[in-house]
Amino acid sequence: MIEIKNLHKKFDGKDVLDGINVTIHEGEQVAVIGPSGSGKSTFIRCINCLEDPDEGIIMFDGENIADFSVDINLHRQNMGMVFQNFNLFSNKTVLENITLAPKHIYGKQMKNQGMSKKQIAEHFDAEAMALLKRIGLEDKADAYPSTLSGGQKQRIAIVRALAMKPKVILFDEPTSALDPEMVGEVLDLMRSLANEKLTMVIVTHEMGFAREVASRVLFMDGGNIVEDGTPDEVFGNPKHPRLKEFLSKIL
Amino acid sequence: MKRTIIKIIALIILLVSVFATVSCSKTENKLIKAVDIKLTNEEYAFVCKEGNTALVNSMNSFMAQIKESGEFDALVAKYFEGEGEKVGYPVATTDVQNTKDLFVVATNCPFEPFEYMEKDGLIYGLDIEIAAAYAKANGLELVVKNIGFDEIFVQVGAGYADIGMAGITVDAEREKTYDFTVPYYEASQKLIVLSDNSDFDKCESVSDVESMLSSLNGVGVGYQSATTGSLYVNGDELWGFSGFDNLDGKAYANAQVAVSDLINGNIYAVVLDEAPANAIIDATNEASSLNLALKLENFINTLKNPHYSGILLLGLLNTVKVAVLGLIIGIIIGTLIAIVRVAPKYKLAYKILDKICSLYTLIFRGTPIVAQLLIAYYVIIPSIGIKMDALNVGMIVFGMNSGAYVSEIMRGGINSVDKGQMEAGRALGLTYSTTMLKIVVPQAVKNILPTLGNEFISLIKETSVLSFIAVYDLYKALLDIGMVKYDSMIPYLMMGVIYIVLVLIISAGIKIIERRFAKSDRN
Repeated sequence: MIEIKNLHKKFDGKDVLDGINVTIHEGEQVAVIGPSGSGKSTFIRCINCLEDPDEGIIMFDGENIADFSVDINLHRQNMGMVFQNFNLFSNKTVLENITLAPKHIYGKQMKNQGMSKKQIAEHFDAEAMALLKRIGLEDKADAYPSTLSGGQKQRIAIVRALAMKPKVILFDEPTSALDPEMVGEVLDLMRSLANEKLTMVIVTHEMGFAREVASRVLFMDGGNIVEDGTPDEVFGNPKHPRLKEFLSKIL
Repeated sequence: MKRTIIKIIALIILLVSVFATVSCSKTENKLIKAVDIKLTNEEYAFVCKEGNTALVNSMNSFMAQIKESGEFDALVAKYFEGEGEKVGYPVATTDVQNTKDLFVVATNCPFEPFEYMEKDGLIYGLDIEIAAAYAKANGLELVVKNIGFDEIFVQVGAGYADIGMAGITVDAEREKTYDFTVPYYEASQKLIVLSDNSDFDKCESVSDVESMLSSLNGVGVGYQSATTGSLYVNGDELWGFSGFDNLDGKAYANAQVAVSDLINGNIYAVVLDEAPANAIIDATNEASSLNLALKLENFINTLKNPHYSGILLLGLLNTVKVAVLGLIIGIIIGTLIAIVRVAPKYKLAYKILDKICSLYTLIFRGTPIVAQLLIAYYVIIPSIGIKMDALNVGMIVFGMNSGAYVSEIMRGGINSVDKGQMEAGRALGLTYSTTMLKIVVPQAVKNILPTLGNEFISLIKETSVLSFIAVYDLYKALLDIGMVKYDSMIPYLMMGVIYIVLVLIISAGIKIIERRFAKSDRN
């Protein structure tokens, strides 16, 4: 589904990503682990070109999205992203946060098909309410993000990504900014998405979660993927010395 | 609410103390007089755009005709001897587009008896009645624009007026760039001093006065800017005026303010054209005998005339209109510029746009708004040949000027919004501009609202320069009201009061908007 070849990214002349090659298949839940500064976040931010790769190819939906001439907005609609700091739109209510992009992007096509503005709004509002119901936050529909807890914000950020019906969702350390007691509710939601076989790429420090939920684990070090395998292989039988050292420190 | 009440109380206390100070300090009323010696010999004529020989010839033959018939002498007798009934005409308060059916006359009040405003709100005078007679004889509609004296030349030159009729002295310098009609009146300059000034009592000739003036060191002498008085004080080769290096020449916008400064003791004397000098001395001496209550009563009586309450309202409306629409245009332009300036510069088009925007900001922040108004109205618009109302020009210039300031305010506001907001929008597949307009800019606006309020307040005060392009704003309206009785004290104080009240209203409005914007912060 996503085929990455020879991905390079430099910051201030320093190689942060040093020629990454990896293919992510449909239905996989890929956990990306590794020490700080190994390039995990840069890697996941390069996948949807929030950071523009300096070199390399990212094939998605049959197009190289690393190419500047490709309309990246079109591809990002199919590639959701969840951030460490939630990044909910603070000037919009919870419901507006979820419906803004679908209304703006898909609403145009629906309008061309003859639907009225009101019908379109009702359609997306209903979808958003169903998503909120799923996470038990339908009573927060008209609240502003500043009134919510971190866990609530991140769950809303996840359903905001889901509302676009993406083919894949990228998670950039989704639980790192949360209070410990709120991590569980976010992981529960991600677990349920994994059970539905949604394709996910998750940069995380939650090793237990990676082991339990991911179908595949990538270990990054020094801007490269140094180990790639099933959770059992990576956690149970680490081969690379850097991975062994990393696991011994955190487990 | 409480704070607004406190502000209003403070304002009232301030006003009462200002009025009290003014009324107490004026214990003795100073009077003025003219030194009865003609300082110069000059001739008045009408001024036309260079090359407009058709109008010059037509006016010359008309003047010859009314001199022949005795009509001219009757008019002179009417205004100089008070024989016969004077006829007043309305003054244009909106910018009139000069078309073929109109006879647009630019003049400058008060210059009694050539042109002056009466309590009825109409303009009277020798020049005005000649203009009216000419318009009637030629089947044209008369339009009288009462503007600054030096602006008359600019307006005639730019084609905003057909002719300048304002007791204009024929001088060699002006003849280089304008065409004059045949002179119709012989005039001279006179010196005005305080009544208790005895320095000139023994003077019998021009040379006596001039040697007296030469013996005074460092005293201020006022004159109306761009008039013969200015040349007389500062010297002029073509006229043969040697000037007075020992005097401190001071230019005033009109004779009335020069005389006020004389009474206040800031200058020693005023050099004025003889005929209006006599009128202004009489009126000023009458006004200075009034106490504050009578002055206030005069002001209120003037306002009872629908013309003056009308121009005050019009001035207020124009001031608010230009400030509000200027701010709206400014916010639109400023936001667009700010977006271009913070946008990532991958594409060449954005790089070029960025350079254009920074040039725009440099030009509009680097020049005074007066210069922008004058250039737009007198240079750009006439040269590209479009017709545009001065009020609209004012709005656009204020909008463009404000756009430059708002762009910098907005840029700061956009930079203060968390980068994650833009990333979240882009990650959902929204375009840069959609995310900017729907997510980032609204948050930026919330952050910069107090600064934007300041911009609005300074905008509403700056609109007072609109009178430079002959727009009736609050300042110009109150100036006109002050001219009626040759007493500007109350109108000037009122000007201050109205501006403060406007600013208070705006501040309250900004508070309300800030509160509405704050709803997404509520916990």
